[in-house]
Amino acid sequence: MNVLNVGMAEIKITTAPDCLVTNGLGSCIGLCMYDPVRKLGGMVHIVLPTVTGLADRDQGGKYAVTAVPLLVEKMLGQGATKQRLVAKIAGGAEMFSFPGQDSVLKIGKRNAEAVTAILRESGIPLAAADVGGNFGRTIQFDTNTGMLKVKTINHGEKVI
Amino acid sequence: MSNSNDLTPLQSDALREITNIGAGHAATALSQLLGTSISLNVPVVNVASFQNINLTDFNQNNEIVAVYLKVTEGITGKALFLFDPKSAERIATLLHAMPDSQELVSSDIALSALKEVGNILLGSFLAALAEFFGLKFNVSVPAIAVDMTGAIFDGVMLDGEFSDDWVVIETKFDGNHICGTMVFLPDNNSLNSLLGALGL
Repeated sequence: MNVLNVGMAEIKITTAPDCLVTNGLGSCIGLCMYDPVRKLGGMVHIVLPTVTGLADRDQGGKYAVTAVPLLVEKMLGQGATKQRLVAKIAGGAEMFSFPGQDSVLKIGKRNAEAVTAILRESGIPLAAADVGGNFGRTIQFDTNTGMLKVKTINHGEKVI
Repeated sequence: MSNSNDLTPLQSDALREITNIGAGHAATALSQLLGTSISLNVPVVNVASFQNINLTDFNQNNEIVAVYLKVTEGITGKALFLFDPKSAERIATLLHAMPDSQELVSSDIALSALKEVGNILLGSFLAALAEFFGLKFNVSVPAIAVDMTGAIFDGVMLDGEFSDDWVVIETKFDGNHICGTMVFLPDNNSLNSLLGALGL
């Protein structure tokens, strides 16, 4: 079994029995997609909801708006069937809280909402989500089972 | 200089030098606060993309205690003071803010004391820089988090305006079994004005 590390703005796809891992998600979102029949899994480490400055085409994984369609496209390119795809997400925390901070500035929440909305528009069911809070997450996606393990430092560990 | 991608050796040296002045004030403050001697390492200046911000001796999954301030006026950017959990506990103990039967992370009094320590250190660092450059400065209230290094940096980078490239200025403190790292991430505007004021 290989463990593939997915860095910020990266997209990786692999098949069973490999695992995809992202370390230390704060406000970013780890989006996983799975085709259970092909045992094909993909992960993208999304940083921001939408393109803010000049879009960099090499960084399609950076923004929710570009990352979701790109991950779907790559999954289909590797032989997945769209009707079978399911998604899971984790992350979207606010690591620091400042009193009186405007909710517009809550980037973790905005990231989670953007990914959820784009998945819905794309017709891909969101099978599980572990988002929000004020703590970091390290995630491991098992392409054998489609299960996503979410590890934290002071908030336990769970499998979604 | 328009892009932080291309710091010249002279510019890096200048940033190291001015950081050293500010960090000296912060080390003195820490030393007085804890009644122990604190020494200072030479600051390290790195330019990194948002995907590759790595501090020396920090692993993404390791737990750290981070005090974070946003500098909103003057030398604008993000300032952090990082302690490993053992050092953080030792500081809280020296300040009589560490309850015997509680873990650091669940003790409001210990976290609040550490937040104040970070605030004082970062404040003396920034005040020294501001004085050197004849600038006013203004900061947010401090915030504290105890979590994985990777998640802390992710949260800091995504707070406010996002940049693809970062100048990371890192200074290590140690003494009496206490280690800490001060990190300053100037934004592009303040980087340009600092280097401009130095004629670089």
